[in-house]
Amino acid sequence: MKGMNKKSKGMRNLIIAIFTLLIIMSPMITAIEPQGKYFDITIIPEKEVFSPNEFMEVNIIVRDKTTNKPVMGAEVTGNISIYQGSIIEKLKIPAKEGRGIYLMEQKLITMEVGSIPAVEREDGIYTLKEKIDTKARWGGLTLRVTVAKDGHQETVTRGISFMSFNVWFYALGVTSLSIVIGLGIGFISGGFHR
Amino acid sequence: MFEIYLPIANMMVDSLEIIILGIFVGFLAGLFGIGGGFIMVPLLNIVLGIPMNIAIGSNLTQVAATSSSGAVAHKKMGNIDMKLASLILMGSIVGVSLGVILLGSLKASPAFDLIIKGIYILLLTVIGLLMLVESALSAKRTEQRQIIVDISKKFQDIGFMSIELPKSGIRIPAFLPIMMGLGVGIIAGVTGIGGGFIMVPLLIYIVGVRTVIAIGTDIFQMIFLAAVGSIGHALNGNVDLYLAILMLIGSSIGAQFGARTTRRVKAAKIRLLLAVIITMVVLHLIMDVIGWFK
Repeated sequence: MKGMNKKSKGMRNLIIAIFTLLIIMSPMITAIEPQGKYFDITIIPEKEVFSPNEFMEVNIIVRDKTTNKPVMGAEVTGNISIYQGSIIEKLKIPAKEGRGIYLMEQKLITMEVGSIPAVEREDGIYTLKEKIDTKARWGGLTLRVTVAKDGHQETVTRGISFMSFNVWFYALGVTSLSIVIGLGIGFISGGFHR
Repeated sequence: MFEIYLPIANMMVDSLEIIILGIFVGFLAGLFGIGGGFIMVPLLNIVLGIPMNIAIGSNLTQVAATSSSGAVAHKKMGNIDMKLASLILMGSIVGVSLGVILLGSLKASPAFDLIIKGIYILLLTVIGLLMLVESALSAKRTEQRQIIVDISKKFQDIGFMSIELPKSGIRIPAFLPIMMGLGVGIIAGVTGIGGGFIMVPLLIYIVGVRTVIAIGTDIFQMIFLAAVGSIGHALNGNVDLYLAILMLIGSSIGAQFGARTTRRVKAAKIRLLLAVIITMVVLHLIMDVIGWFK
């Protein structure tokens, strides 16, 4: 160790730092999700970005994984987890004993809407319709589609966005903000891509 | 403790985790002189479980910020060839738009994750190989210079659509940077990276511009490439503003430390370290792809 020069010490410390970080982060690493064996499920929303409280229409194409033929007569259902915004809701719960009422405040984040049946429109194409019931002005929902047939069941998920303002406003706003922040950092620090 | 809701990704994450990841990737970016998107996007998915399309779109938004910041420094140093950048942009803006459309159509596929991870395995392997070639060449500086002169001379000699670049002091066929921009733009649109590690060697070896001009010009055109890509991805619901800002905070801090550490570590060891990190990410992606087929 005595003979180690400054650069070698720097390298050693760097390797230790990176591996320590990787070890710290390793519990966060997500497990590999098991993939479908029987069906190929494709979720195609009518639009990429919906408006809050609008009816969302989604087409679900189900094909047999081995034959690639459309799967007809399957039971296709959807579960939706809709973002509601970080709003505080006041609840009044009647007391079990006596005449009092409990006043409760709860922070509403997401709302789960379960078992929405999809209707078979064409061979192997199913349509799911549901209102995006939300109090949030913008956010996302996670659609979980379950296909069941002949004792086989599989689930796939897809994220869908919604916003109450024009999507062009969001796209241009986010990008402009990013460039302005970047230019700000550049003018203050002289840029970090030197 | 610092939980935040990512509205577009529709998931709760610890904001500190994103900032730490940003610092880590920003540190590597500063250390290696790269953008870091090709590490950031897979890590966002592997470590935090952010959907690939959101990681791709948000990273491109973040690239718009980092390239704007970098371009300020390069403009001050006079490293930007505006004429060359304009030619690259003619291709890269079309390319990135095509890439965004391509990703949008892939998103519907049941094998979306598999396809994107497959592209990343290919991309990271190419990066590894490029690093290997670059290491071998940089060991023999005179030979490297000769190779650059030989290759770029062949392309500069093409008379078709020839155009003068006074800043770089060369004459090149105009279609060359346009085609390069188109290719890199498509890759940027699909993968969410800035593409500097492809564009810079192309500008040095094929076009024959000096390294500093290649880096400065690429970073300048990247602002517009990333902006167009970011707008396109945001329109497709792939950009989470909070995620992009948290990544930017982390990478801004990390890049400063990374740039300072460069002086204390040998270049060859830096490359070896990056190779180890890339290999680890590739191995994890391969495990994911194998898991898909099981």
